Amino acid sequence: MRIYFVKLLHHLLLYFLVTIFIATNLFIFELLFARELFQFFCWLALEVIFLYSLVYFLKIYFKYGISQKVSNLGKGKIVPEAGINQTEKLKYEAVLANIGDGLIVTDKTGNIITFNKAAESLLGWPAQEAAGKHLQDVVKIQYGEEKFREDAALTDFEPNRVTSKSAAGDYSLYFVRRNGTKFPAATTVTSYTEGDEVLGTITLFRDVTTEKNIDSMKTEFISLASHQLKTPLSAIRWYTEMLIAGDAGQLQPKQGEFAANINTSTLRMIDLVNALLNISRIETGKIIVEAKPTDLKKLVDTVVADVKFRADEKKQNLKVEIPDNLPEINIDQNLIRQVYMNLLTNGIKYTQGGGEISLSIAIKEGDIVSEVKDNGYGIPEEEKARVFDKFYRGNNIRDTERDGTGLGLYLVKAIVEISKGKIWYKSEVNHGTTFWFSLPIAGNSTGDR
Amino acid sequence: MGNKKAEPTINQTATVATPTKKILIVEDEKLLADALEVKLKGAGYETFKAENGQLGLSSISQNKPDLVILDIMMPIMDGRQMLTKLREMSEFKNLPVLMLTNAGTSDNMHETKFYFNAVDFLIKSNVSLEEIVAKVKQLV
Repeated sequence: MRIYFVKLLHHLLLYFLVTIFIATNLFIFELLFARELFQFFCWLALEVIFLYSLVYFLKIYFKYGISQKVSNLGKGKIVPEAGINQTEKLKYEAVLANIGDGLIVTDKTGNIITFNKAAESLLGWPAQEAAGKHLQDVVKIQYGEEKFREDAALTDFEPNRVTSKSAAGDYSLYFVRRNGTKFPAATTVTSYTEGDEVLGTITLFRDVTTEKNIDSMKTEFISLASHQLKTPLSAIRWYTEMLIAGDAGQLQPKQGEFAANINTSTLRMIDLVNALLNISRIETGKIIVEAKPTDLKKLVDTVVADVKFRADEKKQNLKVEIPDNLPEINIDQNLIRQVYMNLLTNGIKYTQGGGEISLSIAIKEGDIVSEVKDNGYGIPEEEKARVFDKFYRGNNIRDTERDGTGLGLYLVKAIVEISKGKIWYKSEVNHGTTFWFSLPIAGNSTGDR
Repeated sequence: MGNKKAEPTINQTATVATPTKKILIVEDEKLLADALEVKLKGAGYETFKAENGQLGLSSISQNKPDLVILDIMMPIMDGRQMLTKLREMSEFKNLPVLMLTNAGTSDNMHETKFYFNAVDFLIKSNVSLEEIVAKVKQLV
């Protein structure tokens, strides 16, 4: 409604000006013949004023078009276009500069074009100095406690995709300040684009020292609580054992059965506490690889001997294929034993009765690759990304197999990785799962973390 | 010390005449110490108990055990401190000590074995009494 009114006003004004112009000219023409010079000059002056107004009006009218002027009028701001950009630009700059997180924007070559206040104070670089430098020269990053890696930079992102460098609960990424000190950081690196063309990157980061401290307090709590749990658990275990052994007199069959049940539950509880302790150790970096030259076949045989009864209970076929010519490998026996143990018990647990579980080992390009395969329940497609997550348990097995902590594969992955190996798998629901993990034949040296 | 060294060789050949082997259990958790005592006595050993490192050291001087089963986390004097002191006493430099603890991890196990010359290191909750007795039989 308002727009129409304004439009009408403009048309009337234009009509008015044009009319006056014509009338004035006609009048001047008359005056010229009348030769009344003083009056003539008065009207001439008036005409100049009218003409000037008209030209000015027409200039605006044709330059910006009525609609734009109207819409600007509607918003209460008639400002030239360049002016809009200037104001908005200042506003955006103020917003970016004052974001609480560190913000660095680079062009497509990686040179810094924006470096906000938070980035200045977090990294110890003044924005003027950082601007124009390559991101890699300003932001040095480091993973975990390992030494600074020259190649570790924030540039290994994939264009058109948000790369999250630090997931919740993972505090292993550090940013190194200009003075060489470092702080744990959470960061996301994104590329910004115009159409298909990547124009540069945006790095947002913040200091997560507080979160990291809380996390380590949590880990210490788990560790302390677990140690405190282990003493009474040891007492329950040993006294139950003595009951079963008849140290307090021979038990009636039913009493013996009950004592055996207590024993089974206690052992389960101890396993759980140990798993929690191992996790807290891994997360605090306290786990140390104590590597010894190891005959892998012997090690695997002892694991298979330990888990065979579980497969027998479910009438499953447990096959083991290990070549005789395996070289000795330098590994931490306790840790690697845990890997085979967890993968095999998982295979047995998550495969229906009568199914098949197989373990085979092969040498491939400087690695010893172990394969643990089952034809069991499999991992649902939508949950595959979470297989190695702490406390993850598959939706399809949670009800059928209540016994499980969701810590097994998390530990397996952590152990394989600190042993310089890799782990991967494939799985199909109701067809089974195969896990592979590789260990370098060169092995580990004691003290690896 | 000379006598001590001579004894085992005699014992191995003449089992019947073996004087009972003495084992000192240094453990502050009474329940655990009692359980160990029951089992070790059942296996034919003479046992002594001490609740902390300090009492452990005086019991060692007094009873001259053949083996010490030693906990780590204890009040007054912990297992590490006791072991350090024990290794400073020339008479007990080579006295076999079996560490039995719940505070253990594979890394401090390595450290303890290395620095204090303990014969082995077991995690309480991970071993049965049967396994402990078997280990003891292996050691003395």
